[in-house]
Amino acid sequence: MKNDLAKLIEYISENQTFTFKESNVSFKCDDLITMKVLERQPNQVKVISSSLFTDAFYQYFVSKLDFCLTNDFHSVVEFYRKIENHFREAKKGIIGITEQMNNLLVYLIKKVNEDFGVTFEDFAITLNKDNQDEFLYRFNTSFFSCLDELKIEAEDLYPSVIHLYEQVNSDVYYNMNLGELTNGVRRFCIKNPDKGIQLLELHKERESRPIDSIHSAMLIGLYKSNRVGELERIKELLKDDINHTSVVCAISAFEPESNAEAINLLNVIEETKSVDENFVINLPKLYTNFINNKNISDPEILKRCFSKLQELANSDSLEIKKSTMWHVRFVEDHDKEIFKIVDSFNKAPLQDDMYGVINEVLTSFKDQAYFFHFLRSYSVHNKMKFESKKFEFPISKFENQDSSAFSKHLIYLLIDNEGAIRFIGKRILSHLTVVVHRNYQFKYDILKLPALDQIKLWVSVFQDKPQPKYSLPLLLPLRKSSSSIVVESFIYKLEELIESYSSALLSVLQEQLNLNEEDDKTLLARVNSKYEEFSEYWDKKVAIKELNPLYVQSKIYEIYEEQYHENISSSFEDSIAENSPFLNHMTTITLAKGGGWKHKKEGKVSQLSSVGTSFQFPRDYNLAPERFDFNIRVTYVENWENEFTEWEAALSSSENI
Amino acid sequence: MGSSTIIIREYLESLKEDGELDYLFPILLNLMGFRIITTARESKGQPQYGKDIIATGRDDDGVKKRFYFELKGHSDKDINDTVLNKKDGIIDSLKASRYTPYVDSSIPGFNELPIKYVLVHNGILKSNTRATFNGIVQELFPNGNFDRWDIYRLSDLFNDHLFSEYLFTDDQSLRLFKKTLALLDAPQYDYKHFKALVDLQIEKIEDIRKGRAFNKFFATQNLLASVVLHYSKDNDNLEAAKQCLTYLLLKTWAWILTNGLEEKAGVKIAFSKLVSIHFQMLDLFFRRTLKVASLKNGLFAEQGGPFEEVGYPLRSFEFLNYLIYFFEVRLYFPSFRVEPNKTKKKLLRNKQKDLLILLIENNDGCKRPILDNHSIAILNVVLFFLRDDDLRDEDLQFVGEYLFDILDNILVIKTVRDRFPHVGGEMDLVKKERIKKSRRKEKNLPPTLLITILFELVSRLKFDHAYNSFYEGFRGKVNLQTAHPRSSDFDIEQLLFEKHFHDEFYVETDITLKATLKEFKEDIEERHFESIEYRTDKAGYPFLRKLAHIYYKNELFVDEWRRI
Repeated sequence: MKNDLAKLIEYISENQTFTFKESNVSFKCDDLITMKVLERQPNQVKVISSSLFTDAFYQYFVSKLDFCLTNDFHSVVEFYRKIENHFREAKKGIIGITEQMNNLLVYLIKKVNEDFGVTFEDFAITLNKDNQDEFLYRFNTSFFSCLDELKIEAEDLYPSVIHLYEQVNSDVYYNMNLGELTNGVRRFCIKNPDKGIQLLELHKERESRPIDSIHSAMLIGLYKSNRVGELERIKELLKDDINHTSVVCAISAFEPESNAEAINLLNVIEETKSVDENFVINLPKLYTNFINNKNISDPEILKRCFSKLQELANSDSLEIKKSTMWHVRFVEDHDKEIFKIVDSFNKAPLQDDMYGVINEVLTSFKDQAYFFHFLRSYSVHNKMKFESKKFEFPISKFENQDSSAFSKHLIYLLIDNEGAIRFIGKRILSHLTVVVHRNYQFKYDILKLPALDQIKLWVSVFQDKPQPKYSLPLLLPLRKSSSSIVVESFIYKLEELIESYSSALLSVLQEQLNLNEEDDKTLLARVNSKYEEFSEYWDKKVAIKELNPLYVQSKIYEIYEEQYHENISSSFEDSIAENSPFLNHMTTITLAKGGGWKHKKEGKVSQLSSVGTSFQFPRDYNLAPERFDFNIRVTYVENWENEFTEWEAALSSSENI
Repeated sequence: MGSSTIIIREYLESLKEDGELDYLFPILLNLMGFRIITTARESKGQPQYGKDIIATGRDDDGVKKRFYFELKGHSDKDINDTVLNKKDGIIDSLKASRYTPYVDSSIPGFNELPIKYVLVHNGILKSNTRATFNGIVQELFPNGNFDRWDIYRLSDLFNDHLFSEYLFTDDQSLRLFKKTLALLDAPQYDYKHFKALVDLQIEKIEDIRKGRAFNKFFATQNLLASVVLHYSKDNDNLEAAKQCLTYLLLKTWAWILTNGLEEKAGVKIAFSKLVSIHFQMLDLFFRRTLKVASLKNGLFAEQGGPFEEVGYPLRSFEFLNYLIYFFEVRLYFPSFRVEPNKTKKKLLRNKQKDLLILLIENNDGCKRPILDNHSIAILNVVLFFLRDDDLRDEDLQFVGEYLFDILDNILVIKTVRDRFPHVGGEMDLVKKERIKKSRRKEKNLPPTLLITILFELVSRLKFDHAYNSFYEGFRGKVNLQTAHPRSSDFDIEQLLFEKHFHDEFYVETDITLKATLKEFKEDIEERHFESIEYRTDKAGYPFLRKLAHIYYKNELFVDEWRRI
């Protein structure tokens, strides 16, 4: 096997690769795989992380580059860079090189520490983020990943920790380099509590106020090494305001091992009574970590944590609210309690800044019903401000997760008595039909709905005249309803819609109906007859040039068209689109309409029957766009509670028959 | 042959007999020195016996004669065997003319004058028919008192006596005339050449007291109107004729007013012919459009697409305006100098009102003003209905509902689009600059003449429900204004027929809605307004002022509506 390992490294060095095909190499891979040096992958074999390989890899290059290890870590780094260059200069994108080079650096750090007692502070302070040298981050990662294995005194370590902290710290929310640093410090303190205490003392001596992330890392390490003993230190530290933030950050990571320990820690925090925003902003993490902690089983503790989270969510500070919701989303298996918290935001119009985190929480629900409960509640204070794009994540997640349940919830939004709730349903439906699916259909069998709800559904879906290609696939199952009133009313509505969409409606019907069935044939014939009637009316008008804008208003027509194209192409930035609920239903418009709109460049006038566009206005909209929009608005403030009494009566009498 | 002759010949060749050749031909005869005794138009419905026009005048031999002109045009313009021999064809006409003498004892000496028969046709005599034709002429008119004026003769006569004598006396006129004909049906054409041509003819009149210059001027105006109407009909689109003839009519009346000729009998006779051809044009226009326009959303153009947001109301109010003018002038048909008797007038107006109600109720565009100057059409409608002499209960009901719907639509547009009817022209209504400007929050309230008028009408008619319904919606949101003509600084009436007003108006701006209709009404009634005595009305053409307001888009003057 030793021979095979040597051959492997020689092959790797010569071919600058950490992956290969077994058929291309002269050595046998089986033993190396058994020793976890190699791993078989589909079509190739890859070198994986192992001390065996790293040691042999190091030895190979010591020999190849004639290197002699000394206590001069700079020369070690030079050796390291030569090896890296050997690979990277020959090829780009070598799979596995970063992993193996990191392993090698950790190996070298540990070796010079062990062989020569090198403690790295002299080297660390030479690294500077302004030099744009990636090695800073590589050293940071490798050094802190093995810090707990190094022989190093607190006095020697502290300067390196502070310097590297200054280099890698930044304002970004997720900072992996800083995380590696604090984790390294935390593990060092767990393994070496005495040195940890020395580090803490050094920190107190040398810094005017605690560096929260480093301070808390030390406290976490110390607490985890001696839970009961360290609690007093924590209490003591909390007496000084400047320690509050780091202590609360530390406690949130203490991971109590019993209910009693958790209660003690909660008491400590509550006794602090700090109003410092930096302190409070870190509390949600503490409570959510406690809630998720499997060692805590006392329901009272959970209740106490949720109650605290609720208080934080109701804070006047936007940052505290955001922090609360940011952490609440990580709580597992408590949909009901989380809903209560998130729903409390619906007591007033939702602030724009909150949508991001609220969405994260909504998306975290296991049961999507809570998302729809939230939307119903949201409708009260946000009325017609709902936009699907603001809730795109939960919509997309839940629709993918269980499309049938999603459809059912959506349908019940669409037929709700409250106009504002129906509005939300319509916007989600628009989003699904126009943006997400194109051919969206309810995944829930709408014929299972009571007859009255079936009627409500077509009334709701057709109310703002959506394009037939989107609306008909949703509703056509109603033609097979067991209620003759539903069927007849639905077909009557289709006949009426001919005036809005003319041949576009017919062509969708031809596409969607099963014309081998007599009922479908009859339906199509009825609608077609209305179409012919309407065409006759239209032909009469078209024949009169004096009433044709292309002849008698062509100048203003052209200016309008130019203006209109600009408005549409700038994504409805103009006031017309901004104020039009109808146009706001449309997320993507490739403009032009089927019913005869002169193409700006080609100068051709297309006919309604030759719709080649992705969007078409209903005739009613062009007849009186403002009235159309106004009526839509009215629709969404209407309560349907008594709106369907006549339908109810008709359905009930038909049942009696 | 000059280019002008070719134009004339092509034009004459395309004339139909009915309403075209028989309209122009008397003008030619008149300019040739003939005295017209009767024309085909005057004897419509009467047997003509082969004599479309009867006139007296001197023949080529210098002898004064009775002339019997028989006109053949359109499918009969070229004489071939069929045209010659068919029933009511040329042979029948010539025989009727020959054997049915026209006697008129009211004209001294007329019955004693020698007779000359003239067959007038705007085509040619086919060579294979020539021998037959000559034989028939020989047999019917053995004394040689027969003549035939074909397209070549007509072209020469029209050229010599009408076009070259007046219209084509300068290169510029010829150029403008050619441009007009070439561009008449072009999309976006604004008829500027025609307008310049009309203006030029007016400039060219040097001495109006000379009868011949006067005759030629009106003959030219008639000719221009007739040519444009003819080609508009040919193009199957009367819009050009509507625009051009209206301009011509108004400009001619402005010229008459300028020269103080409005009471001259000769002027009235000549001008009434122009009113008549303009009326004929509108008659044709509405025959073609009104039935369809009155269907549900008949004025809406499906092919206009999103443009209809503005296109439909603009078209609707324009249509309403011209229709009301047409109805007004219809009362004076056919002489255009006398109103009908009360009973006939009432019958006619009730029918017209029913048509208007149907049109407006079926077209939302008539109730959705998007320009402030749509007040012109709205007032025209309201004033048309509110005449004491034939006001019906349903008229008042309709006016109330109409005003309510208009105010409601204005408020809906304000709610949804945050804009009131635009003060300015239709072009800048849709221009980018305006849209950008409208996005900026104006510090001042938007001005409006229209909404002031609407509230004034509502208060004068005591429509409490409408006033109370809209008071809150408009209060404090617009600057109510009333425009008054500066009649002490300008000859307002003459300018009304010439241009769009701007400086000629001053506005009253301190009008506010009061808490109750009664208070508002009292406030309005206390306000001063000037009554103008119009020379146009005195001359017998009150309807013309309406046309001027419509064409130049000048808001109606306060005395028009504050009197109701």
